[in-house]
Amino acid sequence: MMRFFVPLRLAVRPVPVIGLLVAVVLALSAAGTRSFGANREGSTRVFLIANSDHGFHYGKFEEDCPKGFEATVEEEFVQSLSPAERERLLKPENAKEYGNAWKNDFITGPGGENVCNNPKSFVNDPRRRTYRGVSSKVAYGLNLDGTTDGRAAAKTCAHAKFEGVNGEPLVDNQLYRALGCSKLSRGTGASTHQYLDPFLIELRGLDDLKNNDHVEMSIYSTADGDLSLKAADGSDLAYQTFTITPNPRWRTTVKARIVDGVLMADPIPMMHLHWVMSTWGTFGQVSEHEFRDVRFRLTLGPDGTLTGVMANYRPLDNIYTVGYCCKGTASTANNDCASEYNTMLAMADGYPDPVTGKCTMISAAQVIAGVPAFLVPPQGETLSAVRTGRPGSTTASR
Amino acid sequence: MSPVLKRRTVLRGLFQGATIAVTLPYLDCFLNSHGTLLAEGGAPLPVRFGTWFWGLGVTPVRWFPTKTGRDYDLPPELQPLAKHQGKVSVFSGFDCLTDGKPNFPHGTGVPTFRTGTAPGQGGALPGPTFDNIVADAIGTGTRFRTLDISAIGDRNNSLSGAGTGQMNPVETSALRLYQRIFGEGFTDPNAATFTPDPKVIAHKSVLSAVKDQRQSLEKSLGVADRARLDQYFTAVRQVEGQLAIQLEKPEPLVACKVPKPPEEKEVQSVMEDVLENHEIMVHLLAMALACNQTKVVNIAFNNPASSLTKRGSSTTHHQLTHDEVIDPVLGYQLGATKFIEEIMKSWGTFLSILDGMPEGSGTLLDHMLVVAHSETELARNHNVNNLPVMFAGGAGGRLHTGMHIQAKREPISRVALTAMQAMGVSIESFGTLSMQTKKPIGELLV
Amino acid sequence: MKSGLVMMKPTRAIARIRFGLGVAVMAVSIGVIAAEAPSTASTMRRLTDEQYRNAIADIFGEDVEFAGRFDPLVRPPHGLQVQGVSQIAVSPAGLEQYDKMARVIAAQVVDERHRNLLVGCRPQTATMPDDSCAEAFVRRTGEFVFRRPVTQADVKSYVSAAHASATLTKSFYTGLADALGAMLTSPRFLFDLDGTEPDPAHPGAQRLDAYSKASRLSLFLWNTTPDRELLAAAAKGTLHTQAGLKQQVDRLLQSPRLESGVRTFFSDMLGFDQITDLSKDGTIYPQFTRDAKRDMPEQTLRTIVDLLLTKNGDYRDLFTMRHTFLTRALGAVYRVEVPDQRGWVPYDFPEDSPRAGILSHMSFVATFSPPGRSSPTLRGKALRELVLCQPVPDPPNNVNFSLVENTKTGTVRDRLTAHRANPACAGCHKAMDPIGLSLENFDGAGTYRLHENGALIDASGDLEGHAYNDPVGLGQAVRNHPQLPVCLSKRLVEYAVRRPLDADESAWAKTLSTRFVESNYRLRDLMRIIAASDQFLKPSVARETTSREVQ
Repeated sequence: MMRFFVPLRLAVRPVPVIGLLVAVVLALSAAGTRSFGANREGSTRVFLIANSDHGFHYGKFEEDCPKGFEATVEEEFVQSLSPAERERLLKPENAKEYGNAWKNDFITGPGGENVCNNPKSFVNDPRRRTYRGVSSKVAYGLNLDGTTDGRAAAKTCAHAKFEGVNGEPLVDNQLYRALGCSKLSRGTGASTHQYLDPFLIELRGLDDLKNNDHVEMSIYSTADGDLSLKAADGSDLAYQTFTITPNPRWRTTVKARIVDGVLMADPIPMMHLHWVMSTWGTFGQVSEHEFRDVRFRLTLGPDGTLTGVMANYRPLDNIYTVGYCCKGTASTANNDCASEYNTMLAMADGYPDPVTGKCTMISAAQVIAGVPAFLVPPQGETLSAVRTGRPGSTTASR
Repeated sequence: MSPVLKRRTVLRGLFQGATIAVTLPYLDCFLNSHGTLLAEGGAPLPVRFGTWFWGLGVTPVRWFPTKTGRDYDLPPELQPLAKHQGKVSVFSGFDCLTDGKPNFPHGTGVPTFRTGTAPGQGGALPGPTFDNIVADAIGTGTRFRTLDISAIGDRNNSLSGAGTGQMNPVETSALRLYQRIFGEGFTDPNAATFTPDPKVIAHKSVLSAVKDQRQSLEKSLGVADRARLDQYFTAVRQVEGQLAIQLEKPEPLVACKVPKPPEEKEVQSVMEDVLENHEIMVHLLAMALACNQTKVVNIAFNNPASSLTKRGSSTTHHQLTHDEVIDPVLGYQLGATKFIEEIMKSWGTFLSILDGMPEGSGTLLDHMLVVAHSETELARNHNVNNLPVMFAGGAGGRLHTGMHIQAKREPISRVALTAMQAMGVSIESFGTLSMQTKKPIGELLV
Repeated sequence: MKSGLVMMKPTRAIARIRFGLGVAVMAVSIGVIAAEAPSTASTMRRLTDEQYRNAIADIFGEDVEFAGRFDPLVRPPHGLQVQGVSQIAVSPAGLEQYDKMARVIAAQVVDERHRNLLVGCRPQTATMPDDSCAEAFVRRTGEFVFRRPVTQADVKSYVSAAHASATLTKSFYTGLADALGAMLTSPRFLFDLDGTEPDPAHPGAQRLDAYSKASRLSLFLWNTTPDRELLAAAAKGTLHTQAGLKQQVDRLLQSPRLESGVRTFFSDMLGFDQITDLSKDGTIYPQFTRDAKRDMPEQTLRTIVDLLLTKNGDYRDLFTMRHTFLTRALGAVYRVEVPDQRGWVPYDFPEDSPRAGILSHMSFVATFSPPGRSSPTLRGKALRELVLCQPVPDPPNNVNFSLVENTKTGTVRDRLTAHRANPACAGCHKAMDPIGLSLENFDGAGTYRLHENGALIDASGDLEGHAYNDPVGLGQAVRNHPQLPVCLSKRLVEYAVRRPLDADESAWAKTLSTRFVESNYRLRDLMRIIAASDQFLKPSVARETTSREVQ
């Protein structure tokens, strides 16, 4: 029996809190110190994207989060008490009762459900909060709504813009705004360089790497069980061969172009990537990430790497499906998933519900880094057939 | 078709023909046919083994030494071991490789290190733990094959077993441990009369039978080969000598003194209680070793996802690793680190107890190997690479001590293999898939 | 425990595993014992780890588990590691290990799972000695353990031991295990000892007795103890006849078990023992993963077995062939597609690829490179010594290596010029560096590169007057090198006799190479010639006697 329930993705890679930005930059530049045979022949290149970060730009803490971290579940509990009760429970001799009160009672709903297994059922609980969000001005991401002021439009809700750090001046990243001061994701150094399961990007027509208007780009998940080997120094091992997933839902092909060395793809209306659940309870079950209006802005390094950003709207339902679980997220990691969910609902900026008008998706960005790889088509298929998948041709999961 | 099958078939069914019964004269007296049983110098002290586990790892920059070899540096979290440094070796750079299996938070490190195979289920043992293999080799002649405790009070906190689904039962109460060891069934080893083990007598005798072939072999060899054969028979005599010693009445166990029974006390994860419980229980275990009631002890200070709390606080050690803000100046979690420091002090306490019990020309610790380790490196990342491991004790002279062994991402099965070989287990290879190794750490083995 | 003779079916678990001694209880029997083995022993060679392991698996079945450490073998200068078996004794620690291994094996042979098949008879009472059953066991097991029939003295000694131990321990099986343990610790099991007898064809001279011949053949070709048929041929004396010998040699050569010996031979010849301790700087060579290190010798061995045994091909083609076998981890080093997730896939490097022949495999270029760079000198030396049998002396001890070890600028060719310009170094280095420089397109982990520090690598070279431009050209030059077949013949003779060669044997190895060439460089033919030759099957000569006295 498992005794401990902390979502793995929140605690996979060691990144010190104050050094996160530095670490991301270093991770990208470290790859640059090594040559991956940029002189390879041919106009097709394949990259393994095993390094994908959640795209939260951590600047100076005092500037990003002037009022400190968002409340933890324990803090919310303490604030929910009457002064007298608070004083009583905080006495050392009542530590056991106190611990039980917040680690069990406070995080359990009337139906016995847990605040992190089932945050939706807590959204009307007055003791839950909506986070303040980050105060920073800059963020990773791209300009998804095309506006300069984030005003509401047919497909968006009103929101503030960030200054972009990926080459576009005004960008949308409400997911970062919502969770960028969360103690769990920022304060404890928990972060992830495997925000997405390793996937592949294939670029074709790369006869000109400077300016090129006829590049074709395919994004594939790998076949189940295709392990990504690690290199001797712990980095992502280049030149591994992967099999493309046999599931067409996780294969997308789109036109792209290179302008002054920057590769950009046409927006992809809808994209899915294979995801193996990594939280207790559903550990190992196959699920998928869903992205809308996906855009890429990437750079081909002279050392054979591919780095940059992928920006998109994430359906809250999908985040909910792949991201939430486990009592331990509340009782051990001290996180109130309902407050977190409330915040995302409040800050969602894409795809308004036709009835309520409230947005159902949230803008986000993933910082990705790829190393050269090889791919082969799934059994019984040809590469050319696999490559013809049209962007957005897959149907939504719900 | 398998070539293997073919060769077996070839050898099969080889004995055909008539039975010949031959009556042979019995040896007049088995015992006396090869001279005296007793060698000079007294019986060797048995070599004992232990594991000492703590949960939730270390703060890597505050624990791992930077200097390798002897006289390694002692970062803050290793400071409690300062006076034992000469007898403690520290390992770094040894990884738990999971071969594509998930890293179950707090559930992968222990099974992977102890069995050499990553578990398919958190905490489950995919094979026998190395301490269990050692117990099979050395632990069968004593009253208890192993004694296992969990000082934190968690009865499910067993980390050892045969890998068949069964885990060694653990004792959580000092009083119950006392009763098991020194209650009914305990006989003072120093008072007992000595009966030589007939199996050892027989073993020694058949080795002597090998020696009988010497003359017939020797006469036809050249000078160089004869010298090599001499070396062989010298080796036989040495092994015989070791067996002869086992047939002697052992030296009195001077450190063995029956202690007073401890008080009954319930322990439930409160650090202050656990520290006390640990100290009493390891004292009892040390005495069980000194009195030759067992040769293998397995100690878990806390549990893998440590439920330790300070008295008067509901915050667990585990919670701190996940919700405590990293000090922006120091770069680590202060509260979680405090727990690690306390735990390291307790490890030092255990070593002081072992090293304070005189045995032969040294101490109990000198005749022991204790493998101490955790289930993660940095707990908040659930990192099972660079797992913190230490060896304490000289295993009766079979191990060099006081070294920092630094590896470059080597499978941690090498450490387990080294421990088993130091304990005299006849094992050449340990672990499966990426963890499979035949390479012990040569710098440590004498 | 029930006693008496009961026919028992092996359990399913047991039936899956093959046994050397598997006989049903009713069929308990012993063979016709040959005349008391006479013999004088003149040399002794310890079994290698593999031979010990194979022998135990062959005699008792592969499910008999054991493990232990063997005293390491010391490779004689410019020779094979296996030749160390003629020089090593057994250390006390080694004997302790042998003793433990023997007892672990013996305990399994008599345990309840195995005893029915392996002991072959049942005692009257399990708590008492039973000399008749013990004797039957000693006789039939002993013949395999000692690789010849047991003598009456053996029977007496081991049955007595079993009896005494059973009396003491009140267990027949413990007694039997003790006796078997003693047999497995005996020098006659652990060492291959030559037995000789008067040679009827040459009155006054000695010849190797038939069982010693059987052991030599089997250890050479199969890397294990003789099987039943070979022992039978020894018992009947047919091994002493040309026809009988040829028949057995052909049988051994046609068996799939030949592969075990061939793998061992080439691992030894190519220095693969060094791979175990090989380490690379992971920041310089991230592609040198644990998986790649594990797979690199196997790649070359698979290539060798495929060409030389499966396809019965030309030995020289090993140095030019494009066909090989890869895993995904190796693919990351060679930078080629290897779709299979876990296993091995056959692979052909394209015709325009710089990779051809085993000298371009990781097992050569990475093994003979220091942790953080390549070394033309190490590679050149290895090529000379291992493949061409041209020993290169060690460097004098006052050499300043700093120039060569500075890898920050230029190519190693520039740096090594110093070696070849300095007369003290030039003598040796001109034999090593130029051929090593032709492999510079492979970095220290074995990955192809065109440049070093931005400078184009010049891989041209010259091997004894044959000029070439790249590693493929070097492979061609090695393939056509006249020393290539000479060296293989010499190495194979060294492997066959398992000791340093004397002058006669060295001369013999040279003449063998002519026949190897005549056979179109077929390895099996060379093994056949060696195995069936008088030189291989003659008695080893103790150093203080002369060969004339013996022959």
